[in-house]
Formats: sequence, C-alpha cells, structure tokens
Amino acid sequence: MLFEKAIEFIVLGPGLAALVAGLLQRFIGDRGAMVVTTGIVLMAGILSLYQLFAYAAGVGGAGHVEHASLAADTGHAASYVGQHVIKLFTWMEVGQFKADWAIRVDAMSIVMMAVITSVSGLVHLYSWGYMQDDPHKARFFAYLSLFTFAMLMLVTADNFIQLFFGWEGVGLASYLLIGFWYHKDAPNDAAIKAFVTNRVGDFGLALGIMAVFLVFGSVEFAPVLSAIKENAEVVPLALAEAGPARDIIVPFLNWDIPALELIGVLLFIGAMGKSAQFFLHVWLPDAMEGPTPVSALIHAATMVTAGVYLVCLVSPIYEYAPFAASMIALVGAVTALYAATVGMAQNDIKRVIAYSTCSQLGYMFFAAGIGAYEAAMFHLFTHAFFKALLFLGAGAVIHGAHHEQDMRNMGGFARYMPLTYGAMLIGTVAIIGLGIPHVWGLSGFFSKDAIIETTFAAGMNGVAFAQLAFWFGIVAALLTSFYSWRLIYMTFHGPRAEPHHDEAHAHDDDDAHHHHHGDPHESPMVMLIPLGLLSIGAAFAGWFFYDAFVGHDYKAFWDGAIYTASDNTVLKDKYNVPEWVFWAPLIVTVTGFVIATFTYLFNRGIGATIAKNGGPLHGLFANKWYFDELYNATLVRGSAWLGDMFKTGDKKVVDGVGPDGVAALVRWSSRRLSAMHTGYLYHYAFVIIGAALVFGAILFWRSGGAG
Amino acid sequence: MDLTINHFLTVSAILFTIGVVGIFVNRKNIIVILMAIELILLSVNINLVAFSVFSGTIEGQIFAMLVLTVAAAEAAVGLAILVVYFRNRGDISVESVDLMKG
Repeated sequence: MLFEKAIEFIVLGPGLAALVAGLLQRFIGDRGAMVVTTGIVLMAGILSLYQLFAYAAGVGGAGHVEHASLAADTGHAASYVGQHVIKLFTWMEVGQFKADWAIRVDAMSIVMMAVITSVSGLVHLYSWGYMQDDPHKARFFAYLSLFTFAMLMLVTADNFIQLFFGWEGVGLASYLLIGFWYHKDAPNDAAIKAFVTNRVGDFGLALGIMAVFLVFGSVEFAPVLSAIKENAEVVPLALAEAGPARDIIVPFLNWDIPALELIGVLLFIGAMGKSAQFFLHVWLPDAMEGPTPVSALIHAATMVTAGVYLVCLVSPIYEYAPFAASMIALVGAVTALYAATVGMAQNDIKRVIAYSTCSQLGYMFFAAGIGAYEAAMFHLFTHAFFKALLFLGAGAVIHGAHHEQDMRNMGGFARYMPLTYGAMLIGTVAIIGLGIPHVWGLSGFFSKDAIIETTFAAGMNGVAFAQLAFWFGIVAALLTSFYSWRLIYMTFHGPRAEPHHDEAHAHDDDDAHHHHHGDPHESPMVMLIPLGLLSIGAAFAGWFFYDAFVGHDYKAFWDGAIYTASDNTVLKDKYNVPEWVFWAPLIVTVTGFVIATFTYLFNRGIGATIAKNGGPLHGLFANKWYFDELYNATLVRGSAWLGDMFKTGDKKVVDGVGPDGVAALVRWSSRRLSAMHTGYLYHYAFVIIGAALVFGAILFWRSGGAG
Repeated sequence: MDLTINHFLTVSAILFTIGVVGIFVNRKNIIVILMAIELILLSVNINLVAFSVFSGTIEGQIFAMLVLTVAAAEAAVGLAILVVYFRNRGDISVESVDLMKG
C-alpha cells in the first residue's frame, strides 16, 4: 500500500504542483510557486530513484518476490508478467472502447519515472539560479511541473489513449516553454515550428492508435500486446478478416499489407516527430530558443526520448513487423550520422548539443530497429544524465558569460568557471563513450558500446540495415567525439576572447535584465549542485545498471515489459562479436579527440579558416544540409501558395457569388428602387393612374372584353 | 343630330384627359393641380349624370351630388394645406415639393 501511495505521489504530485503554482501564483507569489514545485518534484525524484534502486536490487533476488507480492497485494491480476497497474478511475467506456486513467508500474515505467523526476527535480533546482532575474518565475515553474506531470502520464499509461494524452501534454508544455520569452520573435517562431512539426508526427500516431483499435478492438496495452505475443485469434472490428494476430492483413491505400506493419510504421511516424528523427528533426535545434533548463529537461533528457520509449513499449509489434523495424533502423542510422555532421559546423553552443541529442536519439532508434530494445532503453537512461549535464553546463556557461551563446566569442573560460568546466568534461567524456573495453568507462561507454555491439551482432544475424547502422554508428561516434571536444576547446580553452557585444545579436539579451558586462563568472551554488549530482549520474549510471539493463540480468530486470521474439538473440550475441568490434568505438573516439585537439587546441586558427574558406562540405554542414531551405521552398511556400489559392477562390467565387454577391445585388437594386422615389407629386400620381389603368384593363379583359 | 350618350362620354373623357395631363405637365403651381383634380371629378360627374338620364334611374344624379360635396370639401382642405405649406416653406412651386425623395 505504501508502494502504491509513493507511486501515486510521484505521478500526480507534479500535476498538483503545476496547478498550485499556475493558478494560485497571485496568492503564493514567485517564491511560493518555486518552493512548491521544486519541493514536490524533488521529493518525487528521490522516491522514484528509490523505486528504481529497490527494483533493480530486487531483480533475481529477494526483492523480486517483494515486487511480485505487491502485484498480488492489490488484487490486480497482472495482465502480463511483471506488470502492476494502479487504476485511478475510468476515463471513457464506449462499447469495446475502454480507457482508464491508470498508473502502469513495470520495468519500463520505473526506469522512465526515475529519469523524468530526477532530472526534472534537478532542473527545477537549477532554474532557481538560471531564472533568477526573470519576471515570470511562477509561470516558468508551473510549466516545468506541468511538463513533468504530462511526461509521467505518458510513461505510466496502460492504454494508448492516456499515452496520447501525455504525448500531447508534453507537446503543449514544450510549446509553452520554447515560447516562454514570448516578447521576442525567435522563440515564438521556434515554438510554432516545434508544434507544427509535431502535428505531422502526432497525426501518424493518432492513425496508428485508430488502426490498433480497429484491428484489435482495444486500446489497452495488455490485451493488444499479449495477443501479438501469443499470436492469439483476433477478430478485427473492421477492414480485415479474423485470424491469428500476426497474420492479419488490412487494406491501406489500395494495398493489402500486414496490420502489424501498418501499425508499426504509423506509430513510428509519431515517434519520429516527437524524437526529432530525420525529416521531422527540424524543430529540435530551433527549440533551443527556450530557456536552457528547458532544453536540458525537455529537449534532451525526457520528452524527445518519448519516441524511443514508445517503440520499446510496443516491442511485440516490431518483433513481428520486419519492414517497420528496418525502417526504424534506417531512419535512426541516418539521423545519427546526419545530426553528427551538422553538429560539427555549428557555432551556437546550445545548437551543438541539440544536434548531439538528435544524433544520440538516432543511436537509440537504430538499436530498437534491429531488435535491441533493452540497449535503446539503456542509452536513453544514461543519455538523460549526461545530456542534461551538458545542457545545464552550457546554461552555466551562458549564464556566466552574460548570455553569450556563440562559441566564437568564448574561450579560456576554464579559469573563470573551473567547476562548470569539470562538469562539462565529465559530460563530454560520458557522451563520447570513452572507456576501455572489458574494463570500465563512463556511462556513455556502456550504453553506446552496447548498441554498437548488438548492432554488429544483428548484422551477423542478417537483420536488415544492421550493418549499415553499425558503420553509420561508428562514423557518428568519431564525429561525436570531434564536435564534443571542439565545444570544450572553443569554450574553455585558448585565449580569453574579447568581450564582443553586438546589440543587434539575437542571443545577446536573453532576458529583460542587463548584467554588468565583465569577466565570465562561476554560477551560484544552486546551479552547481545539480551539475554535481548529474555528473555522478553521468559517470556511474552506465556502470551501475549495465548488468540489469543489457547484461546478464536483463531478462529478470525487464520482466516481460520488453518483449523479444525467440529468434531475436542480439543481446546475447553481443558477447560473441569479434574483438575488433569492442575496440572500434574507442579507436574512433580517440581519433576524433586527436583531430579536435589538433584543430581547436593547438592550432586554433584552423577551424575558423576552414569555416571562412567554406568548402561545399562545410557549407552543407553549417546550413544543416539545407533542410530548412528545402522545407521552406517546398512545404512552407507550397502550403502558402495553396492557402493563397483557396483564399482567392473563397473570396472571388464562394463569397463573390454567395454573401457578397447577394449583398451587392440588394444594394444595387435598392439604390435603383430608391431612385424611383423622386418626391415629385406628379410622378406618384402618374404611377397611381397608370396602375389604375393597367388594373382596369386587366379586369376589363378578364371579364370578357367589350362583348 | 340627336344627342347620344357617346357625346356626353366623349366630353367627359376629354375633360378627364385634360385633368390628368394637367397634373403631369404642370411643373409650376400646386393650385393648378388642385384645379386639375377638380376637372377630373367633374368629368366623372358628367358620366354619372349622363348614365343616370339615359338609363332612367336617379341613383347616378344622387352620386353626382355626393361627388360635388366631396369635391368642395377636398378643395377646402387642399387649399388649407396649401396655405399652411406656404407659411412654412414660402414657396408652393411643384418642383420644390420633393421631401419624399428617396
């Protein structure tokens, strides 16, 4: 019972905090709103971390029994192994369509809850310092808590409808927070771009959920997923013949395709939008217009990983949808490489990290696509810590450098902010996955190498696109190392750049307040503590949880929350890959490090020279492969043209004939009619007499004429 | 030459037409309009009396008396209005009476 209360507090507490801070801010003030939200979310973070540790510690041991007994405790028949659902109340029930508000507790949601609430708690705390001078602190903290609540609803849903609620909730919170500084143009534009791009993905997700309902007659995870696992007989509501779950064929746009493939692709389109995968990635870099704590929480650690979470959650679907899975692998691999190339040529410190996020999400996706869902979740888990650390570190740099974000105007900051420098170093070493194979490394080493190895193993097993994904992953690892060190060198090393203040520069006055311009300075304690705690996570999370997530205990840990078909053995095969595969990531990482050190530490001019001479390749990377231009030329202009066409058609044809035409006719005819009223007596008399004559003639004629 | 009813009706029609044309063609004076109306009513009276005589009944002549009465009353009222109108506007030319213009 205590366990249930704790879980309920973790999920519902942030929602309550958001309500209090958002609606009662007049009464409790900024300080009250900050205390309430930060306090509750931090408490939820501690509780959920405790749950994660207790769960992980119990796996395969005495604790596991405790977990199982908890499920029995509440009298819920666990629908599938390891699942424990706290039903809050029924949301809607129409015939077979049934959706509850519920909290699903299994390995997946415990991991996600721990990530979300712990990072969110630290971001709340960090924001005390970062948003110190902002006039709308209560609103900011209310949004942060609202986001946390929506994200928790997403990961604890036991049906697709609640998941969709959370999905849209985080989208809303993301929109509100990107556009938090609404008095400037760029954040508003970025917020709209994020929202519109996500609509594309969400449309796919919604179609996917509808397809699930049509085929399986339910939107609850348990019946749908267990039907696929057991290949049970399914009677679709429409479209298709009854049959075993994996063999159902549905018509779609004149094709007959397997239902699982259709559902898999549609759900993945939703995941692509939320997780900024290739083609739908354009919103993520622009989302950096939001405050930096938001970038750390939403656009690095949690919301953007919702797509990965969704794919792993419905793993049974992808296990039996090879085409959809290979599409995930391909898109993930391309994104990993693409974003890494762009990240090399960016100069805005936050955009570098944003592309890095995009690239790491690509890793997670291709891992999931080749069947290593556990490795994807593991990378999601460790990535949350080191990426939040990097973002918060970048925030500390920006804060300390008086809202300067252009790395070309930085340099030599290590002297002024040694603690931030240290934290950023840990984050960098973690993200590039530096570590000695078979021995030890920081968390990125464990999770990224797990992905690389499983992908290679999958390639040996003949999984589609696995070999491609492996090589893309290796090259992306080289680029990751390069641009991460480039960031460190440009920011913290070298000569102190002259304070460069161009008032017209978009990022110069991040806020309404004006600092005195001077040397960069270290951030306050309230910002350094989250950096320190995240550094611990970034350093040790991989090592600590390796066995549980992808190592020897993985079956017991995931406990059915992630399903893999019996012929999918990539997680075990990763021990059997050739020795060079273990060493390849280390070699490319060190190579990237050496190149970056040579170019940006010892010969600082080279990077700028390359950028100035601007070969075609640099232009391609610096301009993000011209995706914005392409979309602008095709989609934006196209829809503007279409809209203009319809606007003209509507005005000229529909309105012209309809309301406007009738109005013009009435006005014209009444003007004519009123012109007949001359006011002259003899005109009236003439009409009267004329009318009398006409009527008389008619009567005369009708009565039979003179005869 | 015998006097037939057609002669009376012809005179009446001529008078009626003069009255109607008087209303339309006259652009100067409202008093002329009143006189034209008077002509129209008289043409009607000639009709009534002629029909009465030729059909040997008395009702037509009684109607003619009624019409005369009404015409007298109408002339009195019309002239009274005209006087008042002249007091207010200082002008009774037909051209200037166009307050009802749309």
